[in-house]
Amino acid sequence: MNAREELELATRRLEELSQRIALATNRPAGEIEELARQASDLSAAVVEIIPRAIAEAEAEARGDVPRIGDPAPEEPAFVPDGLSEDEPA
Amino acid sequence: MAEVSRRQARRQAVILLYQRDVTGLPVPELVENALRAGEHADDPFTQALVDGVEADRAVIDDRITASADGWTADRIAPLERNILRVAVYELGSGDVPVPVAIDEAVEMAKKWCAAEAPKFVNGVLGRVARENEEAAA
Repeated sequence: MNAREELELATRRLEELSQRIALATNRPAGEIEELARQASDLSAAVVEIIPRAIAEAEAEARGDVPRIGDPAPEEPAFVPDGLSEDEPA
Repeated sequence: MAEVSRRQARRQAVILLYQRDVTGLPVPELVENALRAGEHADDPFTQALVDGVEADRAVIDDRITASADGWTADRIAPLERNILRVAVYELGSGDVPVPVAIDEAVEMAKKWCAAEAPKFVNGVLGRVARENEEAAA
């Protein structure tokens, strides 16, 4: 999973948690505290993922990494040279 | 404090506002977090943009909604929304030439967002800039 997919997933989970917290007014305090703790952890994760997702998009825009859906390069990325450690000696 | 370009400062401002928008965490906590991660989040231009957007967010969002042709600011994807917020703030501040403010926002949208976002950002900001011109005339 790339950083943008992680971000999308985490953001969606955070929205769901916020809705659950908003609807949990009559639930036991312990349950609400647990939801709040999960939301706090998820917020921290989202804060950390956002710069990575943006850096990833920038790298794609510069052409450092292929964009999802880009055609595969015509030349094979790996040309066996007999020196690979994956090759039998 | 290391020197950062206005472009880098603008990038950092959008990231902080995006984080704030999605998580609801306070800006000082997000700035502390970014500094720990080695980002130049305490740059004066970054802070001016973040503080300016935070102070006028309701007005800025109203202007985005009025110019977004069927979209309300709260329904625009959060990354696009915060690119727009920074640019609308800059257009209103008069510190940056109009074409520069629009171009910087469109470039961020090109690099960070879905394919249709740059055109959308350009359209919204073009309308905001025209309104500013008419209001000043």
